[in-house]
Amino acid sequence: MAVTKTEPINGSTNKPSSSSVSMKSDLMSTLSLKSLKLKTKQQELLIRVSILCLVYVLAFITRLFSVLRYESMIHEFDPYFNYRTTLFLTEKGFYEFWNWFDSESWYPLGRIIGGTLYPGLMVTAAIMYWGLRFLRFAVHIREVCVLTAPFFASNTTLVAYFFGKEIWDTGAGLVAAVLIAICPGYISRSVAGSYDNEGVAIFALLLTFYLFVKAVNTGSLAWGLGSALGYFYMVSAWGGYVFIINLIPLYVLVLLITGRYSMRLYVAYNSMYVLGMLLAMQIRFVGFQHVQSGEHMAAMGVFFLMQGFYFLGWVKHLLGDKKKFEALLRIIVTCAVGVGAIALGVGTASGYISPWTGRFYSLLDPTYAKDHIPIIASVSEHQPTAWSSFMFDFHILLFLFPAGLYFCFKRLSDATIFIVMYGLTSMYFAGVMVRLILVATPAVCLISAIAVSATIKNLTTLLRTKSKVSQTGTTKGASGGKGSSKALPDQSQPFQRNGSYCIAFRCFLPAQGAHGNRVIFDDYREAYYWLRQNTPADAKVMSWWDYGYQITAMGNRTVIVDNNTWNNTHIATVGRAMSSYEDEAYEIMRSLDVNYVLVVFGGVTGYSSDDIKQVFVDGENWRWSIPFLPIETAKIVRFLVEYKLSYYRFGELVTEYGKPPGYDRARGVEIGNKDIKLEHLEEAFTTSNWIVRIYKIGGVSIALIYCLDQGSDFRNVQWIHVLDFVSSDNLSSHPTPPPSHTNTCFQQQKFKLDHIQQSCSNSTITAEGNKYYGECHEKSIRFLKPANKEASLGRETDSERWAPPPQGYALGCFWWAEIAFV
Amino acid sequence: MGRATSKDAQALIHSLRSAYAATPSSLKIIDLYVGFAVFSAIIQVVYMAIVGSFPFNSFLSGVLSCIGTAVLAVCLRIQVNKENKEFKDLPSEHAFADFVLCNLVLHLVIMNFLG
Repeated sequence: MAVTKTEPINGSTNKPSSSSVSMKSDLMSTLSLKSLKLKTKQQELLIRVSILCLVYVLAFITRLFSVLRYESMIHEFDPYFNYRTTLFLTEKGFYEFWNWFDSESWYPLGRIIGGTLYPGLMVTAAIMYWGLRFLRFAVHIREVCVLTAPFFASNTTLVAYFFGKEIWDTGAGLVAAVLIAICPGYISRSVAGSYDNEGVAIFALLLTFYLFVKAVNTGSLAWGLGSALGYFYMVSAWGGYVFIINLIPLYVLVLLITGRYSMRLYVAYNSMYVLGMLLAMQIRFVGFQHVQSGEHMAAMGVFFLMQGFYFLGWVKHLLGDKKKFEALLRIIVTCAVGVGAIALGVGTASGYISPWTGRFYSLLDPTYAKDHIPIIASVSEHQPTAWSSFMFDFHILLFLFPAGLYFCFKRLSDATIFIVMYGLTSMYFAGVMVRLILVATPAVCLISAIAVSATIKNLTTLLRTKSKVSQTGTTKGASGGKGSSKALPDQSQPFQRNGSYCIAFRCFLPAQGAHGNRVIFDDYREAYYWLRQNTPADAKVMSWWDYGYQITAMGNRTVIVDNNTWNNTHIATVGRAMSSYEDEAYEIMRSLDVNYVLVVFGGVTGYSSDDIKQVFVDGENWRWSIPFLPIETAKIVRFLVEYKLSYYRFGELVTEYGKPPGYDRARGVEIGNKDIKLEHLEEAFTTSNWIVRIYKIGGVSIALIYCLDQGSDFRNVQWIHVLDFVSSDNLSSHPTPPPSHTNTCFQQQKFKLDHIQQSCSNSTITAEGNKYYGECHEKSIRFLKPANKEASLGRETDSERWAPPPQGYALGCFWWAEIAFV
Repeated sequence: MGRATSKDAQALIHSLRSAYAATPSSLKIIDLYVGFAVFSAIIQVVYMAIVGSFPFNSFLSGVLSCIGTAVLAVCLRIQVNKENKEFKDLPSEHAFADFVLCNLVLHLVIMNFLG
């Protein structure tokens, strides 16, 4: 923030006479504002405009950390989906985009992208891209996408200035602009590269609120229309518009109850509601929810309430003051309200008005998601907020917020009531879910700005009165003294936190090398580009849903499930495949037409939130994903597919100096089973730090050794004498026989036989992974003897020992023992 | 109680009528417009109740255009009414221009939504 010059506004400084002045003071006086011969008002305007320009630039450059330090790329998971859709929009046009059905995700089902996304962000980026192209700047759409969020953060500071001016005065507006520019709660979700809905949505949110408050203050239809258009932009940008459509009716209700209503409120709310509702229904994803969903009923209820309220007021005004007719009218009103309540009840009970969806209901009842919707409860962004998050995201604003509330209550008006309500409701929701700290940030900044501005104003008034008193005594004057603004000292944290935030979100991971140098793990992109370049174009990849968007965007392959999580049964099927024994998993994968499996493994790098944690250690997470299997089935973890795929060949690797091979750095233990064999999958690719491992399905890779009769030709061969089927691994021990005078023998590697099954052999593996050999019995599974000493008798042969354990505590003990000692 | 109520109702209606007659004719025109819009909305709802709501977007757009223009006309009436102290400085042409602008946006959206 700029510090004003030390002259007080009434300009009563002593200026040294020009004849006796040195060059230095001459220079100083030409640089001072007074030499520009501006009036006071113009000086103030110049100061304000320059502050706003600096704040605009500051907001932008604060968010550029990762682009400057590393490279301009898109971070995390959801932004990849947004980037892919924006790319589609710019390439194919709006009509194709609006009607897009995508068959590259959710493999057998596909996804109606045109009807299930919020198009605001993509359309905004596309418009900026087309605008820049029109001006002949040859930018790539990715650069536009990466820089969209910082650009809109700068615009948010401008809106915050105007909003602050509307609520309090220009000083508060300026402070609010600065606070929003540097507040970590907002920076963390709008860095360059975080191409997500929130980047644009916070701008739209603040704009809508500002226009609405302006409409309430002026009572003008035009501002009401403006707020409806702002609301439309918000609805197109983010699902959090539900907050607006509930906060504004709540605000109107509060005003009606406290008796502060006026004609301006009627004009503002009605124009905003009717036009906003109609505009919002143009977005396909929102559809008819404004008239059918329980979350939007508050707005409609308040709409009807207002009509009745103001109609009654008008009738009362017409009649003058005839009180007994008022009593009659009161009876009529009660009947009308009763009818309305009955209609609402019938609508809700019959299911026409849908109840609050789980996503928003879990905000009102935080324990709801844990019991009923585990997939929402499992997202780390949806956890309740720790106090430390508040401290790190708001810093000093946590102390200024209550002070601002105090000032707002001292000078209550329509606008301050609004900002108080916004602040309190958003703080409640920020306490329920970490992600919603973002929604609370503008409110906290504005209210804190009020506190700062009001305090400083009081201080300066105090100082001026003191100086006026003391001026009578001395001739020194010139007491403006401290500047009329203070710099706020919370610059240090954003940079550090900013850096770790974007990097830790799995775009790539930095770490310390053995000598303390910085090492970057770029395994994700390495794996995706391997997929892109080394697999057939129609290959289907199965992975946990976290990685779906990135695989589709960077790897350009069809995925089975992705981050949209719109079909929990499909996700459960994938989870089941990951948590089954290899045979069952193979069946599931065949049914889904999977060609490749991708797992994320953190044992070498010490990255602890990998798939093993997802599927196993988060016991709840695993359990919900397999609703069909009885919990009593005691599965031996080391034979489950997820485990095998993660630790395949891991036993040969030395991960840390001084530790035995096969030491898992994420869990901190050495794995027990180092000799993992895969039956139906083969390893296709492992990245350089073992973070991403890709396996291929589709039969065992077999080398065929065969001989052809001398002189025969491949074109007319009829018989192949097969000497041996050998697994590709063992080929070296089975060399091709040398050619003789009767035949020539060949060896063909990677002879892929789809779905080979031995009809019967004298060795097999039971469900527990124990190998038995002996004669095949078609009817009985009792084999002769176990293949190795350590193997115990199987479930079929020793049913007592393998009876399922009782549920509850014993089960829990068994589980943890198995996992701990594996 | 019944007779007293009906007498009260009659007196009420009479006094309402006499008070309403005193309003300026420009406001009466706006009231007529509002009444007409609400009436056509009611007709559409009754028709929907008979025939079913199949193209729901068409039904919504029809009803909401009537309700919307009624509400905007009420806002216009509020702004133009000389008795409202808050809008004393607002020239009625400005209010009417706002009204026309909002109606324009409303009907543009309706045309898109009609399907």
